Amino acid sequence: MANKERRNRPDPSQLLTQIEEDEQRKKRGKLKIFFGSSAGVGKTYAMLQEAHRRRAEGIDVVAGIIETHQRPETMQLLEGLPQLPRLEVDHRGVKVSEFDLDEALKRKPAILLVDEFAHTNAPGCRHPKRWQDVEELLKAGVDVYTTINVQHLESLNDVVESITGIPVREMVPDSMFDEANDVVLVDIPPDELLNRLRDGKVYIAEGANERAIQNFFKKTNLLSLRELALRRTADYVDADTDDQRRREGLSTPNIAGDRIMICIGPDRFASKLVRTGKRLAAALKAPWVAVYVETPDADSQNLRIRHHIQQVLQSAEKNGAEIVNLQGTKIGEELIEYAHNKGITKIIIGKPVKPFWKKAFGGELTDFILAESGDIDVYVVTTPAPALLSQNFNQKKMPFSFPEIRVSDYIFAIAIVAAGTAFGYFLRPMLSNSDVIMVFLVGAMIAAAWLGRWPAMLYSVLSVACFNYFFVEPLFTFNVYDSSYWLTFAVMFFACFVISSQAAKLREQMLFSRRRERETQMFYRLTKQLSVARDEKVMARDLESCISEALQAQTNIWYPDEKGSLAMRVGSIVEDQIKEETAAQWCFDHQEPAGLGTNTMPSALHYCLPIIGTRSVLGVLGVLPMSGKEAFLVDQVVMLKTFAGLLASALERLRAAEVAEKTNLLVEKEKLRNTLLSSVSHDLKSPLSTIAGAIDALLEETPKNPLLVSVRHEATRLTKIINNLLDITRIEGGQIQLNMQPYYPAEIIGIAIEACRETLKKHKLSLHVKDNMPLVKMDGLLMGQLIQNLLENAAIHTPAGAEINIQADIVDGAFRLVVSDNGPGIPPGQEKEIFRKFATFSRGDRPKGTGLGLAICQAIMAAHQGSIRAENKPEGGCSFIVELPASLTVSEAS
Amino acid sequence: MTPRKTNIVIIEDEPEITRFLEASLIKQGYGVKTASDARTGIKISSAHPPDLVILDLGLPDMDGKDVIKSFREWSSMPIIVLSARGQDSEKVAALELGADDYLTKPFSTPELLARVKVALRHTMRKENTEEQKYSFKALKVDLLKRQVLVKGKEVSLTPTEYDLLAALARKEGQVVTQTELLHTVWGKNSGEQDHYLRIYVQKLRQKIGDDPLHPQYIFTEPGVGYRLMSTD
Repeated sequence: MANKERRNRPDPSQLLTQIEEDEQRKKRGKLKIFFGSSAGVGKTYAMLQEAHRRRAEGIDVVAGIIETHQRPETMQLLEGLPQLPRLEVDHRGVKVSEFDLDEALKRKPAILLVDEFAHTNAPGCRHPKRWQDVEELLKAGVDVYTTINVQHLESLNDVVESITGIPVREMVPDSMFDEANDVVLVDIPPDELLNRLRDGKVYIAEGANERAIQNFFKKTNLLSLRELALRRTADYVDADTDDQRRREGLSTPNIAGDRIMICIGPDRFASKLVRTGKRLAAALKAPWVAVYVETPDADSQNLRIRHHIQQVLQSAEKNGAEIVNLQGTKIGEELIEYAHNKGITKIIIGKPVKPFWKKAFGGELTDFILAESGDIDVYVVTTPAPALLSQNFNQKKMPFSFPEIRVSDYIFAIAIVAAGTAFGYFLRPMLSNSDVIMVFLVGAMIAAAWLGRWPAMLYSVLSVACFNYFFVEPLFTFNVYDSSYWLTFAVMFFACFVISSQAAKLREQMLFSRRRERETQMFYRLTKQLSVARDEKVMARDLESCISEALQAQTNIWYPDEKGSLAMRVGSIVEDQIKEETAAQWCFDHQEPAGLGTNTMPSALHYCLPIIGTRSVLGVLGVLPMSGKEAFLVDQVVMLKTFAGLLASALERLRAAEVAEKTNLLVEKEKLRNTLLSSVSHDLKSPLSTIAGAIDALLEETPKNPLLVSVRHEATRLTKIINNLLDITRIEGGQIQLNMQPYYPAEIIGIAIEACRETLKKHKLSLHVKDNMPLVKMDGLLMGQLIQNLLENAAIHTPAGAEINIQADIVDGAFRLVVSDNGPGIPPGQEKEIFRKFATFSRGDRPKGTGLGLAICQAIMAAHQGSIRAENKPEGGCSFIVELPASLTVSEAS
Repeated sequence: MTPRKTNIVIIEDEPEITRFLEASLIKQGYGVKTASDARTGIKISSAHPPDLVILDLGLPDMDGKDVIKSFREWSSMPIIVLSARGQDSEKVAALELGADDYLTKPFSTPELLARVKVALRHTMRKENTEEQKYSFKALKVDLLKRQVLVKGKEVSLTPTEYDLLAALARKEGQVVTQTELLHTVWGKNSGEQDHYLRIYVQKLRQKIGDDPLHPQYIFTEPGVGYRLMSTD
């Protein structure tokens, strides 16, 4: 048993993740969700009651936005809660009141109530969805209470729709729900709910379809929704239990080793695949991957389809999937190879409804996967009819269109047919009809290779028609005498079709690889340019030209100043500069993309991408598509991210070089000065000792000679200056190793006083040294010198008779010494300056002192990791406050 | 004055310092010989053993510590070392190798002369063992009777405190290194218990009425040790 326990212990890396998560959580606000099966169960009411309870506990609870729907009970409950003003947004001439995110962030309450989690914000708000507002609040450390109905959860969306038959468009990603700190299920039996509905206690949106409401609030529906809500809550509790068990070191009942892959394709059940993947992954507690294979084929290159796929991939990522973008010509092979390489155990794939002829020629991807999957489980997902309907809104936005039509291509196709016909017609005497067919087939190849698939199709049809018209009896009619020609036409059309589609495929592949090659070349060129660029502006210009060439877009690059606001911009100017800058700043602060095509300020013109270096965000790359408001596609975004990455590394290299250069210069300067100082002072020192010695000898003979006394005095002063110079070069040059020993502060102060006895003769010294101070570790010699310097400094800068005060004490465990005087004080604003080398301030008529004493003090304190500062006293004079770190105080030794 | 002239050897490479040291010492009636490097210094001293050596620690040809070692092989004469600023660890090493006292450059002539006098007095005391009494200002220590008097009143010290005071008194006027004090009082295995020393010195100071802020008897030499003041 004991053995088993041990085995169940969580492994260290898991614990580390746990700790990291906990850290994150500590900073992050807590989310509490009041969850219900449908409108009218009383979620808002429950939330408000809870809010009042917390408020009674003295917690700062603020109502961010509450939809009371004019219900008296709810309105009554809202009384007594402080409310945030709403944000009035002008939307197409109609004033809409929305939740004011900025106000909430400014107010920063402990708990904020935000009703209706799934609400869609009016255009012009920072985020399109309210749950994104909540996300930002949580990131800012605000606790949020919110409400949501089961039909708004993304993964249950189609289930709810199949129950009620009513599409729901406002969705919240399940991850928000699953990561909530608390979920409170607000539940009432369906009969009671129906009663409330009858009493008019349930809010129904104005203008809602009467029949739809009746359809929705059917008892069977309500029962199903209730079951769904209960089950979803149970799932949440289950996950929470697992989490708790993990926290307590019990292993989770994990079905090990599963990896799920969903295959996203250019079909309409991509979103359903995501939801299925998410649910399966959650049930198995397995990681999942959303894979998209980009092919050179026309569908895959269609802008709108790619856009749709990008959205699907984003939603998968939001729900916890890893996003993988593969490139290749054969989707099935790429998928299978990836699955085998990455140890995927379950594949989820859609069952596309292909037209029969496509099936006949193209083969079925699902069949291929089933055949090649080996030991991987394959789940095939279909889309029931109602769900297809629910995609209508999607479809409206992006009808499956043909690729852009270039009329010239079709004219060329017609021209080739004409040329082939003319050639055959004039050489008719020499050619048989089968030769003419050959000519047309060659034309088909040419058309496909030059013009692409659809012009080649046109060519195929036209060539058959022309052949019939110009070469088959009766000539110049579409009639045929010999009915065997119908077979010829069919074979000819088929041959043209096959040739043209194969040639077109080749052409597409060629274009595809040419595009890849161009991209590679571009990256290569940019890398080279950036590596030689010598300043940020040049780098920005290099990138700008690259992006404008690759994406037909304008570029703005913002660089931050020291305070982290984006001060410098390189690039073109756009109209609403403030909005763009706000988006860029948000992007910089949150290290996430913002602006066009994102969830943050999508109304901005730029797509803003943070330029993330190894340690910090170095700036923001803003890209503005010239075509207007069309967002960038997946591969374009990937390309932009690569650009940003290249710029980031180039910028970091630049910054590192700058810093290195600066430090080098500083070091060199300092070295030079120190060498100079020490050599000068050495050269001065020896003659000075001689002078001093000689005068001492002379003074023995005539002790009272005033000339000799003053020469001796000056010699001492000079010696002191030189010693100071030497000291500071030694301390700053790091040539001194502290000799840390425990001392009673009083003995060190005693030494300094003794050493300054002569200097302080004319001053009044008052001592306030606390008795029985503990031992403090320090370099006694240097600390003695520090105190001596401070005393001398005070003596020099105060008139004779002035009072010098030494105060020593242990404050919060740290030794603290204050040397103060009642002299003229320090010139205001110079409190820091005076510690600089050679900073003498003539506080009288001429500079006194060497200008080094205080610099030495500072160097000594720096070596001790202590602090020294000067301040003027309000009653006049100044004090120097020295503090050693508390760690140096020796606790009362036994 | 002793009948025989007291001889001093100065080993110092800076001629200016040598010159004024020589002048000052000669004036006091000492016999002086000088050497500008260690080898010459050792040669002169071994030919005619002097009564005291003044040795600069920063000589060009030999490490000052090695010079002390070579002197201590054959002589116990007092050695006063001269050290430059920043040679603190050298200085302590020199003292531990047997140097008697030290002076940090720049020093004043009276300071040097006082140290020389104290050092020479200790040599004489070693020869004349009766003199086992220390007296300075109001403090009197009788090393034979193990008696300590302050202003004529007997002060009762714990054995450790007394040992400490006695160790300082035996070398009155001269610096005693921390290691030496620890070894003499707590024995060779006392290790580096610097804070014991500080605590006992503190207690001793309290009992003999010596204020660390204004010391009269026991002076702290930071990083080196303690010195008990004496006349001169």
